[in-house]
Amino acid sequence: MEIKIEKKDDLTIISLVGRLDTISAEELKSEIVPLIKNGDKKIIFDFVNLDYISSAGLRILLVATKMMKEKEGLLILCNINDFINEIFEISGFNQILSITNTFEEALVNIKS
Amino acid sequence: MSNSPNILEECSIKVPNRLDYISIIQNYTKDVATKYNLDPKSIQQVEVAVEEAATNVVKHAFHINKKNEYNIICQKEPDRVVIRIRDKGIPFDPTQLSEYNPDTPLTERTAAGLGSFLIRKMVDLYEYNNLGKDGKETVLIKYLSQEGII
Repeated sequence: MEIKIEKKDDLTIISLVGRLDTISAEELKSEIVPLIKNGDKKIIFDFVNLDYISSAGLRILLVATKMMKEKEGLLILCNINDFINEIFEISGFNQILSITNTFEEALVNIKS
Repeated sequence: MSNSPNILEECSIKVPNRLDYISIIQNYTKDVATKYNLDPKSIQQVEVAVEEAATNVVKHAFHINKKNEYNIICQKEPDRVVIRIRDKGIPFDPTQLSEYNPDTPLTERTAAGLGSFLIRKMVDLYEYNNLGKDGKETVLIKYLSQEGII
């Protein structure tokens, strides 16, 4: 999986390309945890090019969401495909994650 | 391997107990499930179930630094595709892991049992068999759609 991180003022945009599985979840964890620890409080995950997720990926999203809540930050996911959305619904992650349909909606929500 | 008269076709691979081989197993089972007429949505669900089950084997069946291997067996029966993940490692029943609850609030939510929870949701039948001296196996079963049954 490819992880692209872009910073714009106080906003961090993380774009994931490929598959968030057992191997790549560890790579993502090593990127996202330091960002949150260092004080990033507005993070958008753009899943437009993410094809697949397993429990390993869900674990990292849970860790990141909990850390952001503790630091009173905001993490929004957008552009989720049908398959990943189904995994979120089955696992109840759609109840604990902030999700928007488009990147533009995520941008509006995180700035408001 | 089983000699059940229900088995129309069968194939298998042997892989090292390493996490970096799991995507190879997924590609293999996807290709075989396609050949066995499983529908595209079911194949995607099997892909998740296979990752979760194989990860359990690699992480729990063997000592982490000890080289070993295990088998993936794919079988086609008249109305279903069966995937058996068979190893001779430490006894471990993944179906007995703690129960994951998808309705737990964020503050109390943990991911314990999430892998097995997903497997149960992704396949039609999820079993664990103790094979005695032959080890143990996790069995993932997905039924064929009407169009897939020949």
